[in-house]
Amino acid sequence: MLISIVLGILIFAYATWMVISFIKKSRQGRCAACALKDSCDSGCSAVSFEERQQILSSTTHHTK
Amino acid sequence: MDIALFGNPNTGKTSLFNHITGSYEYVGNWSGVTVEKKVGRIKQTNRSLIDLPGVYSLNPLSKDERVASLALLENEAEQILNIVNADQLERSLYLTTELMETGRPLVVVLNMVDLAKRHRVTINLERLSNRLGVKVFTTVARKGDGCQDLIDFLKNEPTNHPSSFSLNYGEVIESAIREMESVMAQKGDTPRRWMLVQYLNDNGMICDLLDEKFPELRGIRQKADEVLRETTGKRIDDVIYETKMAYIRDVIADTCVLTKEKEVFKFTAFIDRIVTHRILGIPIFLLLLFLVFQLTFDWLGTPMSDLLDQWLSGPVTDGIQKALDAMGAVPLIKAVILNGIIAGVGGVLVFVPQIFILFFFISLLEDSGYMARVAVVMDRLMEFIGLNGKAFIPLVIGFGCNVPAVMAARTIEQPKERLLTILITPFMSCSARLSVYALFVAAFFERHQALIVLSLYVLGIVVAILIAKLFSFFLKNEKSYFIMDLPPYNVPQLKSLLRSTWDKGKGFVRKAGTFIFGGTVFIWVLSYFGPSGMDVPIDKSFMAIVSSVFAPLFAPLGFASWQAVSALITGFLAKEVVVSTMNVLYFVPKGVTLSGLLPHYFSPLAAYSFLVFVLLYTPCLSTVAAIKKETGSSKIALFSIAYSFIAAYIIAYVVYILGRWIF
Amino acid sequence: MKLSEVKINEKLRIEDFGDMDSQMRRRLKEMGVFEGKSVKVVRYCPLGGPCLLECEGQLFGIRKKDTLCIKGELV
Ligand SMILES: Nc1nc2c(ncn2[C@@H]2O[C@H](COP(=O)(O)OP(=O)(O)O)[C@@H](O)[C@H]2O)c(=O)[nH]1
Repeated sequence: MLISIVLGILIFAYATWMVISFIKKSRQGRCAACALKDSCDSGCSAVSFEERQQILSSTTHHTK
Repeated sequence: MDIALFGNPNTGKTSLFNHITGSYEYVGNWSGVTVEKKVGRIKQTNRSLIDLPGVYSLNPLSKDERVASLALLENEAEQILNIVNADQLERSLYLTTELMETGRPLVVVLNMVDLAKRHRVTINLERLSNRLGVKVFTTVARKGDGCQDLIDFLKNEPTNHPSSFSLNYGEVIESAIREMESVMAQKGDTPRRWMLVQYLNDNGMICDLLDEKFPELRGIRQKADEVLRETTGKRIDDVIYETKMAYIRDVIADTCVLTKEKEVFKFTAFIDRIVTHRILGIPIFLLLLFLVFQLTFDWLGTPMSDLLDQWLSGPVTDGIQKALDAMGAVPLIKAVILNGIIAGVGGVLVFVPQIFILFFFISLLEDSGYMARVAVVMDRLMEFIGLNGKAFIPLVIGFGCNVPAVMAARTIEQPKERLLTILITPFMSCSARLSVYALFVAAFFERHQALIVLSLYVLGIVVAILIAKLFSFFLKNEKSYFIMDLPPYNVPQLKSLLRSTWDKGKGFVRKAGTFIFGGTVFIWVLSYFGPSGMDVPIDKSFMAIVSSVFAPLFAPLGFASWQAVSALITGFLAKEVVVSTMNVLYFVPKGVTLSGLLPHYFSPLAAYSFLVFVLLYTPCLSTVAAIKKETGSSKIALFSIAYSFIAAYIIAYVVYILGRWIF
Repeated sequence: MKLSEVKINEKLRIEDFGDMDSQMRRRLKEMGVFEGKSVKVVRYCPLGGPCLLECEGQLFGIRKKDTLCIKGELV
C-alpha cells in the first residue's frame, strides 16, 4: 500500500509539473521543441526585435 | 569582454562557433540558418561569444540582419571576430572594412582556406595582416582545423588595440562628414565617424536613429549628393562603395596570388546540371523526398520500430507488471502505469527510429548544399503565390519542427512575404506529425507507406501554396526580389551528420519523457474516472463524455468516434499526443498492437481523411506561441488557429467525398 | 546588350544596372556583383523561373525580370 501511495504521488506530481512547465514555456514562445533550445543561451529569442527597438529608442547611449 | 562573431551568410560562422565554444548549433549549407543571436562560452575561458546572423554589410535589408547591426549600436559587440570567406575574399572584405571603420578591436578569421586552395588562391597572411592592421587567423571550420590557435589567442585576453582604420572618401563626402560632426558636437554628442559614413550610405536603420535627433543631417546629405551627381554623375552610396572596393582590390592585389581564373568546381557544376534541370528539377526533388520516406518507413524505419514495439509490449510490459504485482501495487497504480504511461509514452517512443532516420536524411540534404538549389527551383512557383524562393527555406525547416521555421521567416526581407510565410509554415508536416502517419500507414497502407506519407507532405506544400495565393490577394503587394547564393556542394561528413541528427532528434525523445509523459497521465485520468466514479467503462469516462459532444462534427469527414476526437483535441498541445491519446483510449488487448486494432474503428479512407486533418489542422501550442511572438499580434495567432482548422475541415471533407466517389 | 539576351555559357561584362530595384541592386553589390564584373549565364530555369549566374567562381540565382535590367557587353 505504501509503495502504491509513493508511486502515485511521484507519478502524478511529475506529470503535473511537466504539463505545467510545458504550457508555461510554450506560451512564452520559448521553443519547447526547438532543436537549438539547449545550446542556445539566449533562450532562442529572449528579446524580440520590437522590444529591442523600444529599448533602443528609449535610451540615447547609442549616439554617444 | 564579449566577442561578437560577424561574417557573411554561409561562411561557416556556426561551424566556427561550435568549435570554439564547444556547444552545438544548427549548421546548414545555405544562407539564413542563424536567425537570432546565440551566445556561447569560449572553451577554456569565461568569455562569451555572440553568434550573429550573417550579413553582407551593416546596412540591413531583413529583420535578422538588423540583429547584427544592432549589436554594434548597442555596444554589445565590444570586440569583433570577423569571419571571412577566403574563397570569396573580395566580397567578404567589404563587411570587414565596414567593421574596421567602427573602430572596435577586430580579429579576422580566414575560413574556407581549403576551398581557396582548391581554387589555387594563395594568400600571404602576414602581408594581409599588415595591410589590414589586424590579426589574421586561418581555419577550416568544417573540420576544426586552426580553431585551437584561435582559442589560445582568445584565451590570453588579448589587449586588442582599437583599430584606427579610416578611408578617405573624397573631398565632397569628407566635408559633409565634418559638417555633420560639428552639428552633432554642438548638440553635445560625440559623433562616431562610422555611423556618419553609414548615414551617408543610406543605411536605413542609422538614418532613422540620427534623423530623429539631428534633423539637420538630412540636408547635408542631400547637398553632398547633389554636388557629387553634378561633378561626377555618381550617387553618394556608389562613391562610398567604390572607395571601399578600390581599397579592397588594392589589398587583394597586394596579398593574394591567383594562378588560374576562378571557376565553379567541376563536381558542383555537374550536380547542378542535373538537380536544377529545366524540367527535371522539381521531379528530382520529389523523388528524393520519396526515397527518404522509403528509407524512413519501408526499408529501415518500420522494421526497427516493430522490433522496438515488440520489445516494449513484450518483455518490458511483462517485467513491469510482475514487479508491480510483487510490490502489491493497487489496481489504480497498475492501470496508470500499464495502460497509461507504457501505452501512451511507449506508443510514441516506438517511432524514434523513424524520426531519427528522417532527420538523418534531412540533415544530409541540408549539409550538402542541395536545399539552396531547391529554393531556386521553387522560386518560380513561389513567385506565383507572391513569395520568393527564399521562403522555401523556412518551409523546409518546418519539416523538422514548425517553431524554428516560423522564426526562420525573419530572413525574408519584405514584411508581407514574411507574414505570409509565417502563416503557411504550419502546413509543413513536422516530425511530430510523422509519428501519427507512422501509426496509421502501418495499420492501413502497409504496401504503400512511403507513397502515402509523401502524398501528405506534398499535400501540405500544395495547401500552403494555395492558401498563400489566396491571402496574397488581400495583402498589399510589395516589391519582391530574390537573390540566392548557391554554395559549392559539400561531401557530407558522417560525424557532423550524426551530431546534427542527434541534435534534432533528441528533442523528440526528451519531449516523450517530459511533456508526453505528463499529458498521457492526464489523459489516462480523464479516461479512468467518470461521473460515476473510478474505473468506469471507458465509454462512460469524462473523456468520452466531453469528446462525444464534438464527435458528430467530424462525421462528415468519416471519423466520428469519440476517441479520434479526443486525440485531435489533446493534439493541440503537441501533435505526438494524438498517438499517445489513441494508445491510451483504444484499449489494446495483450498480443495485439494498436495498428492491428485501428482497422476496427476506421475505414482506410477515413484513416486517410484523419491523417489529412491531422496534417492541416490547428498548429500546436508552441507554434501558435511562436507565431504570436514573431508577428507581435495575438490576432494573427488566433487567426492562424481558426483558418487552419477550417482549411483542414474542408480539405479532409473533400478528400473523403472524392474518395468515396472513386472507390 | 541585356543580360536576359545572353546565351548559356556566355559571359557579360556589366556596365549598367538600369532601373533595377535599389535594394536588389545593393544586395548584388554586396555580393560582389557590380559594374565592371563579368557574369556567366549558367542556366535559365523553366517557365520564366530564375536564372543561374556565375561570377568569379560563385554561383547565384536571380529572377528573370532582374536580368532584364542588367546591361553590358559580351566578353
Ligand atoms: N569547405 C569548407 N566548408 C566549410 C568550412 N566552414 C564551414 N563550411 C561549410 O559551410 C556551410 C555553412 O556553414 P555554417 O557554419 O552553417 O555557416 P553560417 O551560415 O555562416 O553559420 C556548412 O555546410 C559547413 O559545413 C570550411 O572551412 N571549408
